[in-house]
Amino acid sequence: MLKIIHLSKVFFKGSINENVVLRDINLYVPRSDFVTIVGSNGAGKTTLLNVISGVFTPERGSKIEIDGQDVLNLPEYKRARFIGRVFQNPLEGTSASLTIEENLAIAILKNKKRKLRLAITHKRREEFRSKLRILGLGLENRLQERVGSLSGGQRQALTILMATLAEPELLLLDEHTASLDPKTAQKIIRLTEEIVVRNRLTTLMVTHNMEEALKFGNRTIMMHEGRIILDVSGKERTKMSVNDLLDKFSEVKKEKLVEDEMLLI
Amino acid sequence: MVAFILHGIEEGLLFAILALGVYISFRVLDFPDLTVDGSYPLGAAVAAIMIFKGSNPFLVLPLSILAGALAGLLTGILHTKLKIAPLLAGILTMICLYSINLRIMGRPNISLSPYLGHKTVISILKGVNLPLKNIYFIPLIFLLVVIALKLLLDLFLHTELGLAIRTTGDNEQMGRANGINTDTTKIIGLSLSNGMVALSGALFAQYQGFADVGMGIGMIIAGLASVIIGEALIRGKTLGIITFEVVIGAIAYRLAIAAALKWGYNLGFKPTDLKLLTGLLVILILSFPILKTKIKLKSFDGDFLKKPEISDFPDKSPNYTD
Repeated sequence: MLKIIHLSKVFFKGSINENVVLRDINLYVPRSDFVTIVGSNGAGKTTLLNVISGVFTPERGSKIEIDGQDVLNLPEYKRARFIGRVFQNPLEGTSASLTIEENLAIAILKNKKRKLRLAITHKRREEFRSKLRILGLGLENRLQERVGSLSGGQRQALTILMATLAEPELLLLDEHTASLDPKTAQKIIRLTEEIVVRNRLTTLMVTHNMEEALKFGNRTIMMHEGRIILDVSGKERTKMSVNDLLDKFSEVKKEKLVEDEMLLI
Repeated sequence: MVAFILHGIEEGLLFAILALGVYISFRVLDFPDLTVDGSYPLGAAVAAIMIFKGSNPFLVLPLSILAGALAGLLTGILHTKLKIAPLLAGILTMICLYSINLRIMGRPNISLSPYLGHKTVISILKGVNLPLKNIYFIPLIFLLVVIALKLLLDLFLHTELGLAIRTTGDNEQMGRANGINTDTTKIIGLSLSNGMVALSGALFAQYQGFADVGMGIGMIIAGLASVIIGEALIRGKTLGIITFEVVIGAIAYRLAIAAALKWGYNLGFKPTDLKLLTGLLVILILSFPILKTKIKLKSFDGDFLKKPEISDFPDKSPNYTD
C-alpha cells in the first residue's frame, strides 16, 4: 500500500544550521496495517508524516508510492485525495469559524470538484447526523454550531471523523491525543481504534506513549535520529513489554554514544 | 436636513459595495489587500471613459467589474505563484494600476456632465417616469441593488466553492489537508473582492459625475473602517448578519464623514483633513479593545469576579459525557 524508498530530508541544507531529519528511510506498509511510531523528540516522526502528506519535499532520490502510484510530484492538496490527517493540535484539523456541518461538508468534498451549489443539503445533513452519532458526543444535535465553541477533545473527535469521511487510503495520526487531558485522550484513542478497525484503514500513528504504541495496532516502529531502528510485529511484538521497548531504545542510544566517543578520540 | 441625510445614505450604499468587497479579502480570506486603492479608480476609469465615448452607462458596469476582477487576479497570482507577501502583492498591483488608470482615461480626470450629453445610471433613473419619482427614489434603488448583492454574496459563501474560500482564510493547512487548492481559492476570492470594489468605483464615478486618478487613495482604509464600524455596532455571528453589519457600517461611516464635512468647518477642520480623520477613526476603533483592558485594569471594576463561563474551561463542556 505505502511504499517508501530511500527517503531523506535535510532542513536548512548547506547552511550552518543544516539538520538531517530523515536518513534513508525504507518502509513498506501493507494494506490495513495499523503501525504505531515511537521515538524521542527530534527523531523525525512528524517530519516523516509531513513528507508523506506533501507539506515538505524530500531530498532527490526519495520515492513514495501510495497504492502503486508515485505521489512525490503531487502537491499537498492533491495527495489529500489518498490521505486523511489528524494533527497534534486540535485547532489545526478543523475550521473554527465554520459550523460543524460546514466542516464536514469540506471533508466530504475532498475527492470531488467544489461547485457553485449549496454545500449543505438535506441529504448531507442527515448523513452527517448519523456519522456524528457514532462519536457519542451529542454533536449530532449541534450541527449548526460553530466549531470554535467546541472543546479540544470534541474538535479532535470531529477531525478524526472528517479525516476518515471520504474513505482515505492512508490515515496519518500525529500524536493526536497528546494535547488532551488523560481522560479525553483515552476516549479519543478508543474512538480512533474503532474507526480504523471498522474501515480497515491503513494507518500510521505517531505517539509518545510506549504503552499505547504496543497496545494499539499490529506493528510498531521506533525511530531515532532520522532512522528506523526497530520494526516489530506479530509474536515478537505481542511478547514485548514497555520495558523491552525502553531497553531497546537505550541500547541504541548507548551504541550511538560509543560511536560519538570514538569520533572524539 | 433630509436631503443631507439622504445624500449620505446614497453615498453610503454605493460605498457598501466596496465595503463588501473589502470584507471578502480582509475578513473571509484574511488577506489585507491593498489592490483596492487601485481597483476602485480602475472601475471608475473604465466606466467614465466608455460613457464619455458614448456607451450605455449600464453596459459599462460589467466591464468595470471584469477589470477589477483582473486586478484581483494579478494580486492573487503575485501572492500564490510568485510567493510575494500579501501586503506587497497588493501594493505592487496598486502602483501598476495607477499608470494603467491614467492610460485608460488618457488624462488624470474625466467629467461626465448631462450638459455635454453624457448619460449616467443616475441621470437615466432620474428620468424614469414613476409615481415614486421623488427624492426617495434613487436611495431606494441603491438599497435594492445593495441588498441583492449582499444576498448573492451570502449565497455564494454558502456554496461548496464559497465554503472552500472561507476555510482557506480560516485554516489554510486544514483546507489543503482536505483537498482544497488554496492558491485557486485565494485567487477567486481576490478577483471577486476587487470586482465588487471596481463596481463601487464605477457607480460612484457616475454618481458624482467624474472620475479622478487619485480617487482611490485611502479607499482600503475607508472600506476597513466600514467593516469594523459595522462589527462594533452589531455583533452578529451568522454570515448573513455579518454582511448586513458591513452594509450598515458603510452607511454609518459615510454619514459620519458627511457630518464631519458639514459641521467640522466650525471646529476648524478642512475638507482636506478627511483622510486624516478617517485614519484616526480607524486607529481609535482598532485600539479600542486594548485601551479598554488598560482602563479596566486600572479601575478594578470587579470584572474578574464574574462567574466563569463554560467556554473558559474548554475541555469540561457539559455535553462531553464519558
